[in-house]
Amino acid sequence: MKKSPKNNQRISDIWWFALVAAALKLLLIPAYRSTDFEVHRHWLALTHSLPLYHWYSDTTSPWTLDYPPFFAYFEKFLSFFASLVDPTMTNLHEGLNYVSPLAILFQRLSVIFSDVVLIYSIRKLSKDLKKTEKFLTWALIIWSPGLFIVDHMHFQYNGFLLGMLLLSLSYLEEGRDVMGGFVFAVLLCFKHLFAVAAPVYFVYLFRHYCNGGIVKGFGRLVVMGSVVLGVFAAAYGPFAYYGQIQQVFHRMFPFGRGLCHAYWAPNFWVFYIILDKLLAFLSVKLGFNIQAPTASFTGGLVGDSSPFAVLPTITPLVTFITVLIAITPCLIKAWRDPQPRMVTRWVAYAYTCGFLFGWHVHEKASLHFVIPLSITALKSAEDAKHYFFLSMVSCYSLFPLLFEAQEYPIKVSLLLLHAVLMWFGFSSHFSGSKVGKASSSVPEKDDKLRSPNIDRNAKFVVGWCGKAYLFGLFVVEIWGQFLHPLIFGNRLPFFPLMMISIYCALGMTYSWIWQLRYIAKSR
Amino acid sequence: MEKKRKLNQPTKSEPESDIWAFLTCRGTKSTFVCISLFALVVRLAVAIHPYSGAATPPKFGDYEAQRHWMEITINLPVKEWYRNSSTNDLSYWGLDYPPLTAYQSYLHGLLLKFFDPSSVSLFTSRGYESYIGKLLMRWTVLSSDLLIFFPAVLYFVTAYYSKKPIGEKSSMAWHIAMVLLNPCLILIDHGHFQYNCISLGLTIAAVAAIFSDRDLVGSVFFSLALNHKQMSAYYAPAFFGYLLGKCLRRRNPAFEISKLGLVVLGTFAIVWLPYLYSADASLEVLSRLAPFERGIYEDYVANFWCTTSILVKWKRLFATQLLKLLSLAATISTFLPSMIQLILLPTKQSFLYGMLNCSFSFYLFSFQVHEKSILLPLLPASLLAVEEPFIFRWLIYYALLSMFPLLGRDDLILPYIALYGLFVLLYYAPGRRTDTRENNFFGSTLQSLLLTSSLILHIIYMTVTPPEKYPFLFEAIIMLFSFSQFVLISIYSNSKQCALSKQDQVDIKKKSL
Repeated sequence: MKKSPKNNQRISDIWWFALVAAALKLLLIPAYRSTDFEVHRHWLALTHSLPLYHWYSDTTSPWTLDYPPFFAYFEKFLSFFASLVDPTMTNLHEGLNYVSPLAILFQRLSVIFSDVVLIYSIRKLSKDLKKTEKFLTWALIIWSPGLFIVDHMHFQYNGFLLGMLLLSLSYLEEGRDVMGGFVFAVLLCFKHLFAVAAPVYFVYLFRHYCNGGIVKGFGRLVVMGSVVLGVFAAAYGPFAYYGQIQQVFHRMFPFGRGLCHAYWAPNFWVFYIILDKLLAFLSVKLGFNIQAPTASFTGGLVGDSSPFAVLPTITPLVTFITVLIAITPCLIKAWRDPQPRMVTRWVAYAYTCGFLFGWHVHEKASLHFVIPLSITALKSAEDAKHYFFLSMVSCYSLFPLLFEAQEYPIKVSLLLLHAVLMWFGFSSHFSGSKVGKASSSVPEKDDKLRSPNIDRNAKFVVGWCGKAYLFGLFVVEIWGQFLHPLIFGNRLPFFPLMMISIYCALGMTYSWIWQLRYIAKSR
Repeated sequence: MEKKRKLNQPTKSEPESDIWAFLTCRGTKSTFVCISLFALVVRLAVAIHPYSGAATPPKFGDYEAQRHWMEITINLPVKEWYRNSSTNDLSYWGLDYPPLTAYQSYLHGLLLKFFDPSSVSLFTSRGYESYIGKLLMRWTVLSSDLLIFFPAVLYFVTAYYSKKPIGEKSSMAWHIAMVLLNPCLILIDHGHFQYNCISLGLTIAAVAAIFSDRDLVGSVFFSLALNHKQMSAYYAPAFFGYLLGKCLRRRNPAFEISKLGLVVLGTFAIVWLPYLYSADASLEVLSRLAPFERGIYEDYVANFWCTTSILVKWKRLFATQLLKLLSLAATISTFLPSMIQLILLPTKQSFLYGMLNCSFSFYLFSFQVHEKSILLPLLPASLLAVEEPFIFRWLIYYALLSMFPLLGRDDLILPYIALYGLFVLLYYAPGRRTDTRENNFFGSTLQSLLLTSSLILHIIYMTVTPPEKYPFLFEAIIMLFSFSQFVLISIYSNSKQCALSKQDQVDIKKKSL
C-alpha cells in the first residue's frame, strides 16, 4: 500500500491476500484431483519427450493435447523443472497414470505459482480504487471459492489464464489498446475457449483504436493486425513449418463431443433438453409413436446421434449462431460508443452468452465471466446485488466437480465463507445512508475521494425474490445429498445433478438478462 | 476464500486503515461467525492430511488410541472400561484419561457404529483404517471443536471485551483470529489427531465465566476440563489461587469457599458416578491416570528433565520414587510465587498471567510431560495475545519447533509450513495495531539470529542424516533451542505478573486514600 503511512508494514497488502490464499492452497495439496491432473501430467511428459511436430499427433494416452500451442510451450517450460523433480513424471510411457507425492507437490505448486499472473493483473486493475474497495475486490477474486474448487482441488490452470484476461482488460481500461489486444491474442493462443469474446474485442478495438480518419485509422488497423498476427505466428508458426497445422486444429476442435458435457453445465440447453423430454413424455401419453433416443443425456454418454425425441437436433453451427445473436446487442453498443469503462462488462457479457448458448460447455466456464465481473461488483448497489447472486450460483454449480465425501464440507464452507464476506462487505459498502443526513456528517469527506458515478446512497439489499432463490439452492442441495438417497436409494442417480443444473440454469439466465438490460440501458 | 483475517486496527491517526470495519462494525457475533468459518475451512483442509500412526502396525498412533477407546467404550460396560481383562487389554492403548474422555469416546463411538460398524467392532477393528473411517473420526474432532472450543472462545471474547473501552474493541477480531487459528492446536487436533479442543475449550469457558464474575460456573467448567484430560491440572494452581484469593476478600470467606468446594466436588461426583460404588473401583481408574512407570520424560520434550539429562542421567541416577518427589518439589516451587500473588491480589489480568506461569512450571518440571503439553501454556498466551503479542508470536514459533520432530514423523510438514505461514500473515495483517515494544525487546539481532538458525535447523533435520553415534542429535538441538526460549518466556511472564501485582497494589492504595 503506497498510501499507508506505516513504515513497518512488512508485506504489501495484495501479497498478503495472495499469501493467505496460498497458505490455504498449500493445505489443499492432498485433496481430491480429477483426471485433469493426469491430463496435465501427460502433457508435461508429451512436450518433454517428443519433438514439437509430434505433440499434436501423439496417441499414447487418450488425453491428447487439445489446448493451443502457447499452453503446450508452457507445459514444455514446466516439464523442464518437472524432469528435475521427478523424471518418471515426464516419461511418456512409464509416466502414464503416475502419481507420487513429489509429482503431486510439483503440479499443485505450479498452479499456485502461476496464479502470480492473476495477482499482478488484479493489482493493476485496482490501483485507482479506494482502499476499502481494493480490499473487497481482492477478496472477491483472490479468495474466490470457484478458483479454489476448480484450480486447487479439481486441478486446472484457470487462475493464470483469467489473470491474462484481466490484464488485457486492464490495458483496455487504461486506453492502451495495442497492449490489450496483444495480451488477448496471447491468451487465445493459451486457451481458445476465450475466443468467445473475440467479436467484442474486434469491434471495440476497431472502433476505439482504429479511428481518427481513414489514413490514421487504417494505419492503426495495420499495427493492430500485425501485432495479433505476430502473436499467432509465434504460436502456430512452428507447427505450420512442419505441416502440422491441420492436425493442431483437428485436436483443438473436437466436434465429436456432444451438446452437453457429462454433467450438464447450467445453461440454456438444459431447458431445451427438459422441454424435449416433457414433449416426448406427453406425446407418448397422447398415443404418438416416438422413437426413443439411443443415447441418453442422463447417463452422461453423449454421442453423435441426436438425443432429442421431438425437438430439432442442435448442431454446433446452431449454437454458434445463437451465441453470435446473443452477443449482438453489446457489439452494437461497442460499435456506437466504444467506452473503456464498459469494456469489462461487454467481455463478461460475451462469455455469459458463450456459456449459456455454447456447444459442449463446461460448468467451469462460468468463471470466465464471474471473475471479470468482480471488478464491476463495487460500482453500484445494483451491481453488488447481481454479483452476490451470480457468484453464489456459479460456485454452487461447481459443486458436482468435487463429489467425494472428504471435500464436501470444504466446498460448502468455502461457499458459506464467501457468501458471508460478500454480505458483510457489500452491505457495509452500500450502507444506504440517507442523502440529507449523510452529507452533513462524516461521509462528506469520503465522498470527495470517491469517483462521482458511484451511488453510495443506494442500499445493498437482496430482495425476497433473490432470497427465495438462494434458499432454493439450499433446498436443492439438501434434496440431492440427503433426501434423494434416502427416498430413492440408488435409483435415478442423475436426478440430483439434473436438479442442480436446472436450478442453476435459472440463476444464470437471470444473470444474462440482467447484464443484457444493463448493457442496453447504459449510455 | 478465506478470508478472515481480520485484524486489527486502526491507529487513530489513520481512520481509513480500518479495512476490516465491514466485519467488525456489526458486532462481536458476526465478526466471530466470519472468522470461525475461515478457521473451519483451515481445519477441514488440515484434516485431509495424514494422522499419527497412519498405516504403521502394530501399534499405530494416537488415532488408533482414540478409535480403540471408542471400540472399548461402546462394547463393554462402564465398569470394565479401565479394568484389564480378556476383553480389554490395557497394554494396547488402554484408556488413561479421566471418565469424561471415556464418555466422549462412547458418544463418538455410537456415531461411528451407526455409519461404519466395522470400524468399532470389538477385537476385529484393531488397526482399522479406511477412507470413510478416517473421515468420520476427523469429523468427530471437528464437531467437538465447533461445539465446545468455538463457543467457548465466543464466550471469552464477549466477557473479555465487555468492560473494555470502545477503542480497544477494535483488536477483538485479531484476537479471535489468534485464538482460533493457533497453528499448534490445529496441527495436533486435526493433523496428529487428538481432542485437546475439548479440554482446552472447557478451560476457556471457565476463564470466560471467571471474567464475567461467575466463579461457580467457572469452577464447573474447569472441573469438567480436569475430567477430560488430567493435564488441565497445569492450570489448577492458578484457578485455585485466584478463586481462593477472591473468596478471602469477601465478607464470609468460609461460606464462599465451601460453596466452591461443593460445586467442584459435585461436578466430580457426577462425572465419576459409575466408579464411586467402591474405593477399589475409583482407585483403579485413578491409577490409570498417573502412568508413573513411563519414566520422568519420554522422547525429546523441551522441558527441564529431558534437557538436563544431556548432563545428568536422571533416569539412571535416581529411583523413580525419588524423581517423583524431585519433580513435584520443583514444580511446586516454581508455580508457588505466581499462585501466592494470585491469592494475595486476585485480578483478572494477573489471573491469565498466572495460568501461563503455572502451566509453564508444570510443562518444564513435572513428571512425564509430552511434547504436546506445550498446548497448555499456549492457551493462556493466546488469550493474552492482545497484551503480549510479541510473547505470543515468540512462543508459537518455538512451540511449533518443539513439536517439529513429532509432526515430521506424522508426515505433517506441509501443513506445518502452511499453518505457520498463515499465522504470521494473520499476525501481521494489514491494518493491525502495531506493538511498539516489539522492536527493542531482547534485541532484534539476537532474535533474528535465533530465528535464522532454527529455520536452518528445520532444513537440516529434514535433509541430513544424523551421525550414527548420535542418532538423535538434531532432536536434542531442537529441544535445547525450545527449552531455552521457554525458560526465557516463563521468566518474563513471571516478572510481568509480579509487576502487575505491584502496580495493582499501588492503584488500590491510591484509591483507598
